[in-house]
Amino acid sequence: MKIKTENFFDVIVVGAGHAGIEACIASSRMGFNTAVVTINLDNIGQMSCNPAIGGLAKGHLVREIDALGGEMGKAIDKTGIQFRTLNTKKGPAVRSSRAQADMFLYKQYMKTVLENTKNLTLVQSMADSLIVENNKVRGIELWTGDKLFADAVILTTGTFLRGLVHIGLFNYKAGRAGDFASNKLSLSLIQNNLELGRLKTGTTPRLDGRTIDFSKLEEQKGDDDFIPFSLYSKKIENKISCFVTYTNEKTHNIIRENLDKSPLYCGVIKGIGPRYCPSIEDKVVRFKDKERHQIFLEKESLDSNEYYPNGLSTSLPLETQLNFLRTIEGLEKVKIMRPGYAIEYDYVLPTELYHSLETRKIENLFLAGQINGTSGYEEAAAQGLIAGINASLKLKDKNPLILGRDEAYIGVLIDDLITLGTAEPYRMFTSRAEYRLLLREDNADFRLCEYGRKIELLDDERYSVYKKKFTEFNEVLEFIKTSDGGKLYNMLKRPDVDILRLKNLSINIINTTDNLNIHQNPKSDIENNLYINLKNYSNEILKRAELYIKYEGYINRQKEEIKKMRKFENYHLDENIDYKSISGLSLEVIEKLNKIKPATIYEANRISGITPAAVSILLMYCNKKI
Amino acid sequence: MHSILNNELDTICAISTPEGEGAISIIRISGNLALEICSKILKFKRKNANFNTFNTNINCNKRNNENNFDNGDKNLNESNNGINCIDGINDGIYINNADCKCSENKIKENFSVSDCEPKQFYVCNIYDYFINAVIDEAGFVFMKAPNSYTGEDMAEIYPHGGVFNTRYILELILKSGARLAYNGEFTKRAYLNKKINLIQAEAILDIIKSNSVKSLLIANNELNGQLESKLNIIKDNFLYILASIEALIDFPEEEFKDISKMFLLKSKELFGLIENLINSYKEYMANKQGLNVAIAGKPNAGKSSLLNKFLKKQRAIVSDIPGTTRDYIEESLFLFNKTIKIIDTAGLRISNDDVEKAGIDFTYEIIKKSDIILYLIDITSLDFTSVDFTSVDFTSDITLINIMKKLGLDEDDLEFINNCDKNKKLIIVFNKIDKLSDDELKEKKSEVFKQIESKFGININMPNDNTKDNNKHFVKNINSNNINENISGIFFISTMNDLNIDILKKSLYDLIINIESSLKENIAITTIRQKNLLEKSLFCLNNAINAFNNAEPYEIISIELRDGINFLRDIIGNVSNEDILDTLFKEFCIGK
Repeated sequence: MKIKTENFFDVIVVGAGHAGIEACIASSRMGFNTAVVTINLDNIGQMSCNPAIGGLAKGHLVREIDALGGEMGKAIDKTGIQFRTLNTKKGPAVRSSRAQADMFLYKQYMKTVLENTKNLTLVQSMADSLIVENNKVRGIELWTGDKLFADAVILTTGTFLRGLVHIGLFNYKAGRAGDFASNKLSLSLIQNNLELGRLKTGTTPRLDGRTIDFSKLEEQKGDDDFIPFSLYSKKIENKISCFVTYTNEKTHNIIRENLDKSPLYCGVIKGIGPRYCPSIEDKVVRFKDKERHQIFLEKESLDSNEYYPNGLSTSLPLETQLNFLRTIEGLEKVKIMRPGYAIEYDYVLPTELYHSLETRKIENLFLAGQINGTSGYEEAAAQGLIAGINASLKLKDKNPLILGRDEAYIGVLIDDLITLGTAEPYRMFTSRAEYRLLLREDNADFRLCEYGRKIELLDDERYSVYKKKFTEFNEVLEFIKTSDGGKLYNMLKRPDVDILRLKNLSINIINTTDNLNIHQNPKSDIENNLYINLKNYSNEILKRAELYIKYEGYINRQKEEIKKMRKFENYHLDENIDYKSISGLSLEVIEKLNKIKPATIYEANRISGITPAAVSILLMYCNKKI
Repeated sequence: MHSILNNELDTICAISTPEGEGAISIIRISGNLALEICSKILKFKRKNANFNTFNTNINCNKRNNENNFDNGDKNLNESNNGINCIDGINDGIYINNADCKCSENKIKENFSVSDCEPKQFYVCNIYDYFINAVIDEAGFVFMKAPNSYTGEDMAEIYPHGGVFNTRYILELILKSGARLAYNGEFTKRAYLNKKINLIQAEAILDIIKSNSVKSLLIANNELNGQLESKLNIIKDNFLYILASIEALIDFPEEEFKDISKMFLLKSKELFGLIENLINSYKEYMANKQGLNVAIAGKPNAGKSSLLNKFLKKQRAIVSDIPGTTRDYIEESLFLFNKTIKIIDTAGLRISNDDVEKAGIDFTYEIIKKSDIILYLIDITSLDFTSVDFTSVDFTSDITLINIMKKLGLDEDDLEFINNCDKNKKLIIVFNKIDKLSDDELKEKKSEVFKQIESKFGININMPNDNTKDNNKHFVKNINSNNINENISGIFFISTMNDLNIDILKKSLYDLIINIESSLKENIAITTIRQKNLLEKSLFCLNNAINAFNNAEPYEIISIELRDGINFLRDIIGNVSNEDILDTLFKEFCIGK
């Protein structure tokens, strides 16, 4: 029997960034005595890069986290200062929410939540090594030499593992600008046979808002009809605007002239950076023909003048940064408060993990966030949540929560990482999801709340909010399908018919028919009944129903596909197969299969370059073994 | 429909009998759509007022009668979709149904194929619902999973054994939701469903492996590179347009200059590329079924006689009266191991006879379609004695046409040769050499060719001996650009005495081989399956372009494009999300 002392916990979470927060909240809410260890308690939930949550596919992740019982959605709804829905002119499946955060309020909010979470202990310290016995994690050793013990450990170290900050050709060790790097933990991971790689990411300089001339710039306002990220938030409030400006030829010339001082172009930086978030020097070099690049000026906090110039990530020397900034409209007199920089850090190849995010080699050790090669707060939070849940489920001796690619972006994210690995910081895109029409922001709760309930992360209050919406949705759907011989249903299938207009129309009809003798026109009786019914439901529910109806054909097609594909998850491919020994496969296919080692035929089918014939051979091979 | 694994679940079909004419063919369909597809294209024969056709089995008819009687007027008055189930021979299909169940419960109104009983034999009409027409009559058996060869739902259709109708029906099945099976695929499924044992499966595995090796297969290796580069362009274009759509979805705040313009441009280009490949298949098939060889010439040059020589029988009516052949006659025949289609045409001349005129017009149409033209000239109509080579201005007047002119061809012949499409091969054949004396012929010819040779540097392949059998003269090593290059040979023959006919045949054969090898450069795909996939892909691409033009949601366009690219996986391999993102980041400047 374990004696509970100061140093004994059920779960230890190392790191209190976006992954660590969700991980420690999940495990403590699931009833486990949890410690969260961070280098700096004042930087819980720090937004190291842009002060924003959401965006394409990321907004989806936030709503999924919320549906499972995570904290991120609530936090941003509460501390956001500008909210926008992206892709409103495109289809509903790819609509995404994005919010500017007040980064200080966000941090404060998160710290307060953690401090008030039952079963959770906050510890300011640095983890230096893992304590592992018989390939099972037992705890961590701190840099002070103290030891903390636990049944499960979750590492969410972000960019801190042997972090190296570059500003021009100057560099120094840091977890991010202003924080210590964690220099010893990597060694401990290597000693435990985990394979590490090195990645690079970067951020922009921060500008003094008093030195920016906003009068010349395009203003970008928030959307007031924004639907809050969290099911449990009542409303959001738009408080600020963002501004748009552009680089120009002068900017590009300065950057080109100073490439010799860029650590990226001098070969100083070895880590691989993300292609979707290139530094401005990368953009200028690779897309020579582009005359200008967009810059979004985002305010970091209501109480601060610091601005984040989104689109200007750079690791050029400070002087060059200032020079090229001042060629940009509105920034002619700008002052830099903090320089932009690049940072290199260690990550564990995510192929070392199971889908539960537990490492294959060390039992009860879970990894989440940038340590798995991802990028972005939302990606980190999603993994943190899953790691926290699965560490808890493991301690409860239950099966892990593994979401399918057809169930959640979280499922796509983790499956991609585990089966394909990643060579650059992995970011979520909607194009990564095969079943994009099913995985919408608007139905995240319908997809995942039951899971959240099952793992006991959704309390009664939260669950009942979802239940109410779900019931209403089904009522509306049923009503639309049955009323008036399906007339309304067929009408709503048309792309140009808007349910909210019907609703408003109905209100008008009712208002006017009040003054008339209804019995004169029996037909409008039916219509009235119909529209009165619509009136009873919120716009949000009506929109959801409409969307479902409009896309039903495609959705059913995708569901049918999924049902069919499930069969192939049962064809297992052993990890030890040498594909060279299976004759008939082309060399290209052999190479890929040997590298990726898919666990099932279902996984193999997603690998680039695999042919139907190769799948046939693998199927024959599987069958032969049986 | 993004998964490659769909291949394993698709409903597949194939013609199971060897290609060629036979009494019946067998088409097999396997997969869960088998019955659904059959019920689209098979209709039980209507039997109202049609009893006389079923006269072979009294018992069966009797039962039918009884049944009709039971149902009373209803059956007699309305067109009844009840089944016909007979023992006996019907239009060449031998139906041996030991347990002929024309039982009462089965003959109901609206009884359709989807209600059929497994392992029962039915006679049906094959119905093309695209054109609303019955196109053939066939036997049909359905086998319910797992009691079938593959272990899946299976259907077998037994249409008449023509090559054309069988293929037509196959196409119909393909259009109705099945795909063409790979080699050995029925057996593979049988194995996967544990219907056959490992030893049987080993053999089939070899076939599947060869499918894999041959995934791009076109018989000639040196062409692979060419085909591959074409396919790579198709793949790159597909990825580009897909990436542009994905960029618009995933990076809504980026500025993409001209992205719509590029999308349309590239998709149009892609459309053309795929269409070309599909057409190349059609060309290939046309080749495989034989080049078209037209026999043309003025009336009474002996065209029909030559055709008969090729066919070794009297096919065309021949007479001494010019203009005997007023229609055209087409025959497929084997020239050694090559199939060719040889077409006898009406003689070319100005005619006042309407029928003959129509025939002549038609001749020009035929000639347009032909690959090779044998142009016949009556040698006796040439006045060799008048040929005067000294009058030819060899510095300016050196086309073969002019030489021919000097040889005494008249305006009609010249016009024809001159207007002949440069892509067509023309063989000029002088007929009726039997009418000239040996010496006359020999002397004239040797003089003519010697002159040509010395003046033009054209190497005429002159035979050494002097008999009439060696009057073959190919024009080789043509150096001058002025010479009408499509003239492939000049021959002197006699259809009357069989002189040099064999040499003409042999030379024609050589020419065919020659043409085929040069045509192959345009051939990309060689199997109906590849063609089928390209067509499906093209269909999706077309949907995507239309959706784009109609400003439909990008994610719908993306679905169409992904489906389109996935149909090509057989040919270009799997395309993963990573491939799309690679293209996206390479082609479009992203970065916030």
